[in-house]
Amino acid sequence: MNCFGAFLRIAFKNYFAYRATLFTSVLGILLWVAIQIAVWAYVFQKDAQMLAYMTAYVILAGVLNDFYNNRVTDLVAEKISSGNFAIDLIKPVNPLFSFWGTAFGGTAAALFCRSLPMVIVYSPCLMHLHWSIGKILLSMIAAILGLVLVNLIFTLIGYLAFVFIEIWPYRRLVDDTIRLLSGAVIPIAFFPDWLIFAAKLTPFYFLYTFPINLLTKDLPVSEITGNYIVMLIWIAGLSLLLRLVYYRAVKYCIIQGG
Amino acid sequence: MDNLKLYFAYIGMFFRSRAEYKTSFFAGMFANFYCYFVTYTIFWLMTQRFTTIGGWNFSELTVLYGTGLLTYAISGVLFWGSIYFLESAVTEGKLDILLLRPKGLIVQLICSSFGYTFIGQIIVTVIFLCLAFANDASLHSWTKILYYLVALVGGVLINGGAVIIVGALSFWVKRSTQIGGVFYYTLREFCIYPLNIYPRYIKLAVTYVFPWAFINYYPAAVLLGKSENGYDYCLGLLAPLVGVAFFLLSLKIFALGLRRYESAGN
Repeated sequence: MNCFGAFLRIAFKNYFAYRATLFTSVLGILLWVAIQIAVWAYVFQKDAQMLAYMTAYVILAGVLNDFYNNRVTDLVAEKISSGNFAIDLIKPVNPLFSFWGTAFGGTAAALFCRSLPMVIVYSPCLMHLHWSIGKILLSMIAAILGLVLVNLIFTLIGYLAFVFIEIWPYRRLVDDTIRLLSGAVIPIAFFPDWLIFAAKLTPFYFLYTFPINLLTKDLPVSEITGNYIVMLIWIAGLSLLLRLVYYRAVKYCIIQGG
Repeated sequence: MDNLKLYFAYIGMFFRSRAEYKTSFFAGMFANFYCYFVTYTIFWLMTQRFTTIGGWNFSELTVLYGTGLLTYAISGVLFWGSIYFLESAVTEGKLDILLLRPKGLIVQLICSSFGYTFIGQIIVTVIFLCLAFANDASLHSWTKILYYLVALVGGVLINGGAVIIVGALSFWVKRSTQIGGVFYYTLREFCIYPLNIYPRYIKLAVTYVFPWAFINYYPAAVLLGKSENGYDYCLGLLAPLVGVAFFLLSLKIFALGLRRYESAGN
């Protein structure tokens, strides 16, 4: 656990190394959110309630975007393609700890440096929400489960580096599928029925709309429990798959090295 | 003519080298195809729900977005890989090798990288643009098609010029891609929707401060008869000239930056 914390700290410090980059990155997210809000402001110019909801949705989706966006695929793939994956096996730390520690460090830094200023700037647009500790906790649990899901998926994609020279196309395919089916850009409720059905068949369905709705709406207990259970089932299944892939990768490395 | 020969020789070498990794080659192109297919799908979902955005239906939004994307992709094939990321060549001192060769730096940079992944987005955009043109009878005229082709060239020049300026900024600030990320990529996002939906100062910013509206908004408005007034219509007609002027300005800025270049190797 200490090791995990150390990797997390290093990643956090790395994020602060280039302050000009940090500044432009904050400016970028502020502008991006402004564009989204401007579009919805036009679309819902005659529906103040919907506009307030969509404004909050865009801001919270921006925060979740930073929360889920990390470099774990690149970290895994880089280790594999450079051959350092085999060297890491000699070290007394599970390589997955270093990947996830570094990735979570990046996530924590992005939340602190990008999302927090963004939320502060746009906080007047969030004032209308009926905040409560219970809602915030439930939403945070959903987001953390989502983060675990995303990391499992992107770590698995990273292991594709054992098979393919370049893995960015596969990461991008999943990224774009998440962009479409998770409600990151448009809330899933706006989708036609067949697309909602398709989205529900994937783990991406729970990444954006569910944590945001937990904060902005009063969801029935049965729906909340049901969604948590399905998320946990996805996490269990993907963890099992990752374990299998990891042991197969380790076995492959030993054969190559010996 | 020599430069063109050189460029095609480099492309030939590029394809021979990429042929070694066919899966990666096609996966890269498909990833870009899929990425922008998803974006068109999101537009379609929006218009299914709200019919129009700013009075523009899906077909018209496709022309607006597609024009921006197609011109970006064509300029990306030529300039993006080597010039947008010039900062790494500048900070690592790799530019010295190119400066010693008997060819212009921009020509060498263009030749040194072929943005094959952009082919995916060119394909998906051409498909959607063809469907949009087929659906809209008002676009079936030779004058409009001719104007559109000229406007596309203007758009490619503006995008190309922007990439060159972002690359050239690395002569002053070393790390320029983040600046490009905000002032080129993020600000350009305003123009994927009709500008009449935003407050007026946004339109002024992407017209007079950063000329991104000349890439797609004004040309698409002229083409679809959606210019808000005569002045906007004139700006649409002038878009190709703005492209030429902006590209020449970018070359000037690049030359100025190059004079400040100090090799990182010494």
